[in-house]
Amino acid sequence: MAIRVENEDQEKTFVVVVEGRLDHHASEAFFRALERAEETAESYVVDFSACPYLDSAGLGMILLMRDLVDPSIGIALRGCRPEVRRILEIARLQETFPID
Amino acid sequence: MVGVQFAEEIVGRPLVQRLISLAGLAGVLALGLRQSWPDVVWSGVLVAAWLIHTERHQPADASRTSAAGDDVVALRSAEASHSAFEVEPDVADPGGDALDALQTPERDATFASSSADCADAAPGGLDRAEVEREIVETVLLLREALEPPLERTIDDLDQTRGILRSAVAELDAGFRDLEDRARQQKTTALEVVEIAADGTSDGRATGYVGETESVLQAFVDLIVQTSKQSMALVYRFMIVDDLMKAIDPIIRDAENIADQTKLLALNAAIEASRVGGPAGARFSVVASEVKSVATHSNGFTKRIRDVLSAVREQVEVARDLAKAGASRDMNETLGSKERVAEMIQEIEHRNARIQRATDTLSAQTDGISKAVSDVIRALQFEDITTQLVDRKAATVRATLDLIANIHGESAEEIRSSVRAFAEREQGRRRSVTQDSVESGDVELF
Repeated sequence: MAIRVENEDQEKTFVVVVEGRLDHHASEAFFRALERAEETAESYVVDFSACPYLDSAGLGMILLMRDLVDPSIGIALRGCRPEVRRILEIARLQETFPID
Repeated sequence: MVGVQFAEEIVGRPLVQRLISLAGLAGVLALGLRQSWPDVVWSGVLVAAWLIHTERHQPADASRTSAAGDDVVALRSAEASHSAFEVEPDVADPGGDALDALQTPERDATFASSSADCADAAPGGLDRAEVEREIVETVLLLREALEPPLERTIDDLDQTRGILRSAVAELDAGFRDLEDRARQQKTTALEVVEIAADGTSDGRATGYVGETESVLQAFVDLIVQTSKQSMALVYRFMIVDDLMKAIDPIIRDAENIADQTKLLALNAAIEASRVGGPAGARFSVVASEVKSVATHSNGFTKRIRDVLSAVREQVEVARDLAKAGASRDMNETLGSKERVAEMIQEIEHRNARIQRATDTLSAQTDGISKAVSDVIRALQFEDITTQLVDRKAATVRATLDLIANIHGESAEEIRSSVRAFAEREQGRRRSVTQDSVESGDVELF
C-alpha cells in the first residue's frame, strides 16, 4: 500500500494516486497526502487505477476528504476498476463524486 | 299414365331389357314420390298389375323376381328417394298439385285408354274385366303391404322427435353448465395467478423485497457514515499526535534550563567555598537552593514527559480503535444487496410471465364461453328439425289415410275413392296452407 501525489495541469489539479488497497491501514498516509496539496490546486483527483479494493474505511476517507477540502474545489474519482466501482456505487458515492 | 304404355312396349323384350326397364320404372316411381302420393300409388298399381300380368302369361324364369318382390323394391326405392328429399318443403305438402291433375277428365280418359290398350295388347289375351279385377286385387294387396311400414314410419318419427327433444335439452343444460364452470374456472384461475404473482393476494411479497432492499441500503449508508466519522477521529488523533510531538522540544528546552541551572548552582557552590567566611557560607546556601530548584525542575519536566508519553500511547490506542471501527468489508454487504436486486428482478420476470399466462388463460376462457354460447345457440336447430319431423309425420299420415281410403270392387270405384280423398285433402290443404301463412314460416338463424 502506498499513497502517492502528483500535480497535473500546471499544479491546478492535485492527484492522489492510491497504490494497493485503500483501507484503514492507508488512512494516515491518505490524510498526510492531502496535506501536501498545493494551494494553487483548483481540483482534486483520486486515482484508483492501481487500487484493487477499498473497504468502508476507504469510503469514509473519500467522504471525509470532501469535508476537509474547500467546498469550491471539485473532487473526482478516476481509473476505477469494476470491483471498485461496484463498491463506490453501493455506497452511492456517484451521487457526490464524478466517477470515471 | 305413361307407365302402362311403357309396360306394353317392353313386355315382349328379352329378360335383361325388361329388368333394365323395371329399374327405370322404379326410378319413375321414386321420382313420382317427389311430386305427389296419388301419382306414386297409381304408378305402383300399374307396375304391379303389369308385373302380375307378365308373370302369369310368361314362362317361369328362376332369374325373374316375383311381382310382390318388385313391389317391395319399388316401395323401398320410393322410401329411399323420399328420405333423400325429405327436407324439400313441397314434399311436406300431402296431395299438392298432383291431386288437381288427378281429378282432370283428361287423366281419366288417358287411364281408360291405356287400360284398354293394355288389355287388348296383353300377351295372354285377357279381357278388360279380368285385368281390372287383378288391378283391384293388386291395389288392395299394395294397401295392405304399405300400411304397416307407414305406421312404423310414423312411430319412428314420433320417437325421433322425442329423442331429439330429450337429447337437445340435455345438451343445452350440459353446455350451459360448461359455460358456468368455465366462468368459475376463470375467476379461480385469476385468483390463483394473482396470489402466485405476489405470493399474497395484496402484493406483500414485492413489498417485503423492496423493504429489504431499503433496509439494506440504510445499513450500507450507516456503515459508510460511521466509517467517515471514524476516519474523522483518526484524522483528529493524527493532529493531536502531531501537536503532542510538538511539546517534546519544549520539554527538552525546560530540561536544558534545569541542567544549566543545576550547573550554575554547582559553580556557585564552588565559588562560595573559595570565598569562605560568613559571606561564603551565605552564598553556599543560595547555591544549594538553586541546585534544589534545578533538581525539582528536572523532576517536573520528567513527569510532564511521562504523562505526555502516556497520553500519546492512549491516543495511539484510540486511533487504532477508530481505524478498526471504520474498517468493514463491503463485499459481503455488496453480495447481499446484489442478491436482493436479483430477487427483485426474478420476481418481476416471474410476474411478467404470470401476467402473460393470465392474459392467455383469460382469452382461452373467453373463447370457451363464446364457443359454448355458439353451441347453445346452434342447438336451436331442434325447433326446425322438430318442425320438419312433424311435417314428415303429417305427410306419412296423409299417405296412410290415402291408402286406407282406397276401396272398391272395380278400378272405377278405386279411382272414385282416390278422387274423393284427393278432394278432401285439397280442401284440408288449403286450410292448412292458410294457417301456415298466418302463423309464419320457420325462422332460420
